[in-house]
Amino acid sequence: MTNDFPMKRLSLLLLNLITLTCLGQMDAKLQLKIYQQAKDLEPKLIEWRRNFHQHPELSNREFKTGKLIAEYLKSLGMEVQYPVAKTGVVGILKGGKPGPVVALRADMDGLPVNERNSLPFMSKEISTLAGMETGVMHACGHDAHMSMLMGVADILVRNKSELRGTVKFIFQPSEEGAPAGEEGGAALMIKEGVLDNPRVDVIFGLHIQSLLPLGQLAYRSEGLMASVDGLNIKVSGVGAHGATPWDSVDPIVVSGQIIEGLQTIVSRQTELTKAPAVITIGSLHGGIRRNIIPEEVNMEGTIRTFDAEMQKKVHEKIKLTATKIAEASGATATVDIQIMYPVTYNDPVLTAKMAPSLSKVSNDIKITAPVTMAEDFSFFQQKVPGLFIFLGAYPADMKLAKRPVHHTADFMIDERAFITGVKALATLTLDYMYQKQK
Amino acid sequence: MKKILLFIFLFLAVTSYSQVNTKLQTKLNQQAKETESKMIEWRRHFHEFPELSNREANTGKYIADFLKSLGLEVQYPVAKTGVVALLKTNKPGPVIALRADIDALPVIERNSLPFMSKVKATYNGVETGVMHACGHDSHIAILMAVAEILTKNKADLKGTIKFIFQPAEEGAPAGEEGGAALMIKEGVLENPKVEAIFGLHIASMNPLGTINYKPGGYFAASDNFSIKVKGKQAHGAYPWSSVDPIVVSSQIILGLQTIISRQTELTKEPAVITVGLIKAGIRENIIPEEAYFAGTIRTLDVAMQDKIHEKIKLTATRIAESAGATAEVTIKRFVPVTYNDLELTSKTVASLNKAVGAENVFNVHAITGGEDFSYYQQKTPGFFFQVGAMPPDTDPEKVPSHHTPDFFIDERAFINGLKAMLNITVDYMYSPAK
Repeated sequence: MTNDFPMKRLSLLLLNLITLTCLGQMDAKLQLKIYQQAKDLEPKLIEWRRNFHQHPELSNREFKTGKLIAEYLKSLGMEVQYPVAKTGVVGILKGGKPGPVVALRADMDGLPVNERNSLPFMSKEISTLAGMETGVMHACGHDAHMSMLMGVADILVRNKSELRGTVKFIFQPSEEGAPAGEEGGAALMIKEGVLDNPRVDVIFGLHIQSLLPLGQLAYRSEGLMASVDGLNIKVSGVGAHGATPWDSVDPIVVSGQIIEGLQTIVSRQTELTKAPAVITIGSLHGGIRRNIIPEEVNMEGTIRTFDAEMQKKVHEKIKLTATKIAEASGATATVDIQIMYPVTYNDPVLTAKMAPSLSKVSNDIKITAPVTMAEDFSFFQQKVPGLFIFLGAYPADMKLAKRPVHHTADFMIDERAFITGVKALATLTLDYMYQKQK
Repeated sequence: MKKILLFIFLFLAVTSYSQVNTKLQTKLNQQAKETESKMIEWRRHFHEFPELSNREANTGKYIADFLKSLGLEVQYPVAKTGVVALLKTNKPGPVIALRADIDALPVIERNSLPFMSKVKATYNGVETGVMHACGHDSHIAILMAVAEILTKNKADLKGTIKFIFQPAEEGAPAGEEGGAALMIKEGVLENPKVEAIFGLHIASMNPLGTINYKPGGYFAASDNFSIKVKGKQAHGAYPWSSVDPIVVSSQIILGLQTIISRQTELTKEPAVITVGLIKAGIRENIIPEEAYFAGTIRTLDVAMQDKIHEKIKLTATRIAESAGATAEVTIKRFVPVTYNDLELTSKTVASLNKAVGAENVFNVHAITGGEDFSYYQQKTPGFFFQVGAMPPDTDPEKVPSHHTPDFFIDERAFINGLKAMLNITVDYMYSPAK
């Protein structure tokens, strides 16, 4: 990424200059000031993050976390709504000049993971999830997201007079999914009106990435993270003794045929050059004993797509494939698809407009491939144009026993990434405001 | 008390019958022995001059002349080159048919027998050698011997015996009718109406001296099926623009196997679905518009056969639909199951025991090959059996199979076939099914 030819660099600089003048950005003086303030804020960013890290709370249970954030935002003198969507916080900062409403979002919840490391601020929290006792850990870096957004709030409050428009700070609970039977997350925040009063024009968010190089900003136009749909197929046959399959309609063999058939939807029927797609059967349950052919088999799966039209097609094909293959053996298949998370879709016009701003923040920019994981930021993007980016924080200097994979006990990030994150969100906000002004 | 009475009754019944039969059968067995060398001579003649299916002109004439020389009432030609002869005893009794098939195969014989075939013919436009590579030469010789001996003993017999020498058992050339089906069509089972039919097959891989049979389905029914899967053509690099008939075909082929493995009552009878031919496409990077595959279905039970046909249609059409394709299924019934009538079989086994000794008669597993004797059995109760002709001290693993250039049979087996046929006929005559 940094080994570009000098010529190429020069032209890139020129291009930046041109876009800067054409599109309008905050002036260099303001930018310099903000970057300095971000740098000065680093010890605080780390301190906040460590506090959150040591006291993580599960989805929809972010009581202390929310209270702390609400009090902090109040202390900055901004208008605060609390609680929103159970434990969430919304801070509204009106700038000195008129302009658009820019929303910045951070998610707040920890995960039911038992932390495994020797950090002095390691979590020792224990909680209960679905009746089971578990450790709780910020194993996806949401602690860093909160800390960085608090830092951005601090800086933008200090530069309030320079703001052209309004900033809405959204601290969202339950990104990882609400407990069974509860509402939560981005969907509930939207339901409770977080994108209205004042109406949000654009939304920015980021996710720290433990496996990307420190300080790297990675993003892509259009589908960045996949939509997630839940898939349940019930195959009903006729039970029989395992020794007399001819008396049965064997739902296990039929399920095997269906699972293979589903794979051909991706391999043969989906335009993979447009976007990838995934159909995974992650759970398959049938029968109770080796020599009894059961009456039915239940399988569960997940469908990942990056394009709403493709998503719809894949759903139709799944229904056709399963029901017809079942019929081929005299069985029936009942297909139930639950739409869970939409695609995290970066508005292409917005993305193109904001790309120069990101290039100012980091000289390690990566246009990433789509990621088949999901993010509930996508619900906001269904309503307003949004841009979601990844912030690299691979802890290269730390001696790790295992890869610091998200959602695992060994998750680890390098805190030096935070300044870049703060700069990115502040720059996106101000540049967007100054563009809009023009 | 009741048991003893029953026993006495049975004993009396058996002795009264067997006294008539034992005497006659001893005589017939003796004559069989005397006819052995003649039978071998006939067989060598037929072996040296084999003729392909529906082309058995010389063979038919030879047989017809022989039967006429015995003084029998001869119909010739029947079903192109076949021969039917009636031995009327002018005493009331059943009409029993005995059948031999007479055609040879397009196989180039490879051995050093003095009577090796040097006959050439054209088959499907290709010049080929012709060989009695399935032993029908021996079937003709045995049935000629049966005719000669039974004619000689006419005075001791009752009812009518119909000798059927049938062409084209191996299948008529494309576009022609032939074989058992045509013989039936031409009325071979009528005038007089046949009550029971018997046939045998020499078996190069069964030990000399043995006879085997199976009640119920013995040789499999053989049906041909073909499936055309219609999809949508596209460049191989853009499968999403296609409906890929090749991938769909492979799903169907796997699905067809589950009809056997999951949906067929294999303890009742085995069944086979084999796809022996697949044709699709012209070039590696073009997804073709359609794929074609064809296969054979082997079953031993008519109800099972019907069910499997339905399941093949369902499996293929629905799996095709699951991917947006269509499947056209064509199933042609080819050869029915060679089904040994259960009652007739249990009666006839005793006759086989008399011919070669009970210790040499085996109730065997089904054979998934087909035999067109089955057509007769669809119309009238019938019994088919195999006569072992593998020379002693042969490694059964190394025996050349039927239909190959090295096919070889031990002629000492013929007398066993002859005796079996004589005993079956006489026993049935004196104790018919009805």
